Amino acid sequence: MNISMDPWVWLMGLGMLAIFSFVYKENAIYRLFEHIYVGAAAGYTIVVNYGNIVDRGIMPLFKQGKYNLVVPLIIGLLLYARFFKNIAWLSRWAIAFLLGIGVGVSTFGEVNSVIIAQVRASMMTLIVRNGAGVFQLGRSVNNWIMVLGTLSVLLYFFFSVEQKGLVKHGSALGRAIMMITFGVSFGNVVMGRISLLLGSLETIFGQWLGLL
Amino acid sequence: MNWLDKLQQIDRRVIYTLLLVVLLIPMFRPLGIPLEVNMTTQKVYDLVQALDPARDVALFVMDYSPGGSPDVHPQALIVAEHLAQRGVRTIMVSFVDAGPMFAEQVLDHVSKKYDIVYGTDFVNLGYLAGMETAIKNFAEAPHTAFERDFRNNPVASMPIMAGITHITDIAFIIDFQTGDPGYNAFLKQVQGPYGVTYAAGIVTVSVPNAMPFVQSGQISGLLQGLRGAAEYEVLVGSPGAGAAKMDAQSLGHLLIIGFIIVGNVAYFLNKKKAV
Repeated sequence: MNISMDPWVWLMGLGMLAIFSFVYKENAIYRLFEHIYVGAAAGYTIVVNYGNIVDRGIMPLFKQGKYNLVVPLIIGLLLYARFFKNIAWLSRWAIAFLLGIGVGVSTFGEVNSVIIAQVRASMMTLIVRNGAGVFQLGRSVNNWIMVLGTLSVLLYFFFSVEQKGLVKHGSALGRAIMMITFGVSFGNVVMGRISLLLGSLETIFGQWLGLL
Repeated sequence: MNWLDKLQQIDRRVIYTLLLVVLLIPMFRPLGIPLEVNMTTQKVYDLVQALDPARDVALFVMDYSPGGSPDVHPQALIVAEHLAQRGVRTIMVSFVDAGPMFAEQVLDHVSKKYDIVYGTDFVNLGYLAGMETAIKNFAEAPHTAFERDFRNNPVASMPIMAGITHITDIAFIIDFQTGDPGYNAFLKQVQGPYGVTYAAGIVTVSVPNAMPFVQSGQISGLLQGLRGAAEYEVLVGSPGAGAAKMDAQSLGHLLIIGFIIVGNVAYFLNKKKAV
């Protein structure tokens, strides 16, 4: 057993135990550490963002003479105009600028990398053969599942025709595939949460108490 | 209340206690449950193996936060170890504010095992604010995005940055992430427009959402949470933080599967009894 002598590790370990105590029931110690966490996170965010503005805006502007930085700094300041009733409308310029940049930057990528690339990836060969022309059963079945799965899920959300006959069966298959997908997602959530818990246990029993 | 009702209403504290016990036992006494390497992990390993240390530079993106770090940090440790082992020059950059702190931990871990020279073999550039826009900005001019690195050294004079003026000068990107910005931003701003080989290390929760991009080939390799780290450790032959926890993870899953079966059996038996 090799208990850590680092006060920060002690704070971390005690903080974890305090937060875990919520599992038993809500209590004052849990609340105390919850508030410390929220306060520390808010303080950290302010410091990081302040540092960014100073390092990447103010200092290069005044010390290196990068005068083009005046434009984004003014646009940034305009966001705060909303706190002054008579010039509150100016904040809309900054928001419009940010929206424009955001839409402009992401539109091409969204269409190119998400829509077109994914549609292209769903157009697959259903009878797969290898280089020597030999039929590949496993890969062919995989492709059939993916194509049928995509079509049936799309059919489930196709509301322009009445859900009867072939459409009804296709839609039912789509629903079944979505259920399987939700199950996979749930399984991954469980696995992910256990990983996080293991990380905490390793910190408490290993890094802090030195038992591992 | 009969025993079937009781089985469906087990106190949550009983479940938590059992889970704690089940997770702790293999942490103290590993069981050695065999681990099979996933195809997506193998691909990341193969991509790193295929890099030419004399010519290629890897971009090591540290985009994870403390909340998800138990899932992703072991991945970053072992991939960095592999890159150092192969002697591939590695540029670390973050688009999440906590990233540079984890990058320093990774550097500390790697420098204890391998003889790396900071500024020549590895560099931690630091944090660039602006999320997806910052990624685009960095992709277009990595050499001017930072004037000084996280340790306050001038970036322009570093040997590792020689010849890096665009993201296409990077041979391989490995992006460790817990959320936003994540693979979506990189696919939109880097992999899609410039075709740079891109692999990701993500939290387990995000795996189902990322798989369509793996299937389409946009994400060339994927490390899936803690399991991905453990598998990579097996491939590199250096068991570490990931592999040590896999026994506990497996037992935890068995317990939850057990609870799901018990709950459902009790539900259906109770229903049958009521009819």
